[in-house]
Amino acid sequence: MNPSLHSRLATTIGFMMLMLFAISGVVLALLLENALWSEFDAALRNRLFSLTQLVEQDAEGVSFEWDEASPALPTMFVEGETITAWKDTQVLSVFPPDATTLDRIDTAEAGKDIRFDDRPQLRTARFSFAPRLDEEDGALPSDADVITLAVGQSTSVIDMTIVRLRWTIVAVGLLGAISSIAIAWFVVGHGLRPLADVTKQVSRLRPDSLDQRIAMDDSLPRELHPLLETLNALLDRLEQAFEHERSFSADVAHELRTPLAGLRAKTELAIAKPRTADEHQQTLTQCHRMILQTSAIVESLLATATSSGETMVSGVNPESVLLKLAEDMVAETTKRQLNFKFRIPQFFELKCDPRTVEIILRNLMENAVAYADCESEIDVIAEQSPVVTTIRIANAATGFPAEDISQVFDRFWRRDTSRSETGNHSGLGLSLCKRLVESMNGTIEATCQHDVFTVNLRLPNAQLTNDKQSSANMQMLKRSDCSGTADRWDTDG
Amino acid sequence: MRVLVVEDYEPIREAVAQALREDGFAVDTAIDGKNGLWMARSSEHDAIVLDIMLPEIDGFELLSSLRSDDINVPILLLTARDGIDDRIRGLNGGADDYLVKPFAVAELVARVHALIRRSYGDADSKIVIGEIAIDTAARNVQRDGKAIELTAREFALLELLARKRGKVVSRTEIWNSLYDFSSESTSNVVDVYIGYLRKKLDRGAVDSFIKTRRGQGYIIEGSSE
Repeated sequence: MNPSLHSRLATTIGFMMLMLFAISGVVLALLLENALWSEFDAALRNRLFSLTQLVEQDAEGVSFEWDEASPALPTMFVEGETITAWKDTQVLSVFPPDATTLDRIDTAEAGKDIRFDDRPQLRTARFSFAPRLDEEDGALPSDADVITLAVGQSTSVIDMTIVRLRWTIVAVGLLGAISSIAIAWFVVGHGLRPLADVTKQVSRLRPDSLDQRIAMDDSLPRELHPLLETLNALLDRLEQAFEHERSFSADVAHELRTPLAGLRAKTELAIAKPRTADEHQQTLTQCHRMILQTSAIVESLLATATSSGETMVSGVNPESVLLKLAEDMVAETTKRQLNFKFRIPQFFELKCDPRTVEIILRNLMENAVAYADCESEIDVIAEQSPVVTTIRIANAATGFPAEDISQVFDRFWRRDTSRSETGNHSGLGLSLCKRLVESMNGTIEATCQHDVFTVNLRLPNAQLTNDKQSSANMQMLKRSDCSGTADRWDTDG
Repeated sequence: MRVLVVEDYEPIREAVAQALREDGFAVDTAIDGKNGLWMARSSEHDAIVLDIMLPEIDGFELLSSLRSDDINVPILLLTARDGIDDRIRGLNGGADDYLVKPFAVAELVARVHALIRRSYGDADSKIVIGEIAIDTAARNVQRDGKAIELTAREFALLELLARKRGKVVSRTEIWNSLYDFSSESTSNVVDVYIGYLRKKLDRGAVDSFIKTRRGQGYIIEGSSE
């Protein structure tokens, strides 16, 4: 299982605090130890200088005051101290008398710097000097002798102090690190609480409560606002999609129920009592018609459902498609005495999915054939700019209610709501067209002026897969809309 | 009994009308709301079967117009929408019943019978007047426990007179209940059917079950037991 953000942040902060404490502890320990040793050496040096004052030379030779004093005298004796004095390699004095002689090396010149050395459990300091002369006590030697005096001091106290100091620093460091982790855990938890509140709100959302939104009050940190705005925008889109699907399902159920009700009523009536062969024949004919109508609805629904699938881009000549479709509809156009009038430029080609283009054009032409006034012409006009291809299909539609023009692309909209007048038309054709055109980054609109119903279809010349390029195409389409370079068709003409 | 069916979808309209006719109703049909409103205003009907999604004037609007004209005929709404809101809107608008497509034709006919029965103030489908027992739901008639075979139209005529028992029913009223707009029969046919009914119901009794009020019409005397 992945670690939570809470534990990850707390662990990271805790680790960083631990490292900080460790480095600080080491530095602190080094500084303190250095200071202790400096103090120790200063004391040793002072002691050495004070001892040099106790060395005297007279006619009889060099004398050391500590040899003459009782070892019990506290002023002369420092606990743990060892003194050794020598001249050349000859030891002149050792104090206390039973102490081990310090190393007799380095017969340096008088006045040289004090030299420190470490022996086990002792730190020593040596100094070479000319002892003080006793002028009152007889004849003086011609030259003063150079004496080397070494004093050693036990380091056990300072060693113990340093060990204690180190352990104290380690203990304080560990305690600090543990406290830091605990504090970090609490602080991070407190900081993440708004996120947990948001998570609770989101987890309470259900498909039946998509109208709810995540509350963005002032108590929430502002860093969360962009995330919540994005989530709420996503919820908006989800709600719209759900509502769209719900409404679509309701419309489908509604549209299918009517022919199903007819089928059920007709068949129940047919089997309710004995009928003649003619009556059965009539019932079957009507049932067949209703089945065709239901099939048309189902086919359109399937086309709508599959319209978002993969597309295949290739060169399409709309002229050949339009002519083929006109041939397919010859029975209906003959029956209604309609005539197609094409105005399509040569070398006219679209780069798009041929199946999609055929579905769009078929629906638009079928719509025109179904609703055009009898004995009229259906104009199919194509124009092409470097970017956009425009196809207009216009038919005479006497009495078309102008207020309905905004609804023609709605699902299940029919010009005449009386289904018996519209044959097998499901009311899904124009809705499907709109969806397909939008999937091709094109636009479609309907107008009705002077009893002429016109559908304007605009498609980008090349179907691009890149979002950026598609966006560029849309921009071009919009520009062409604004500038009016895509001329409106004169409905009178 | 005369029923108006307002439905734009031809197969449903025809099937419902046929089923009602075969059950003895006189049935008028309208293919849109405008025609339906005109027919409902111009003739008396015992019930209206009304689709909601109609051309010209939709079912809700037609219903509202009828109720504002004080036409209180029982109305059964037909619709493909089964949303609660639609039902509430229909019933609050003055509809008496609601049926969602697809429906069983027999259920629709039964509901029309129930609506008409309630509009005449009868709680039970059985009407007993003297020795005659009429079951309007089972569509049978008995005299002294013996079944009497009646045609659908004869039963409809008997049901009309029985529902309006104690009141004189004019020939025109009877004719309007038995025949729809498209019928070309004359009012004489009423006397013919009354004759058929008397022959089957009276069975040699001294007093006819259906009395004639000269110059006024026909009456079944007595009250339901």
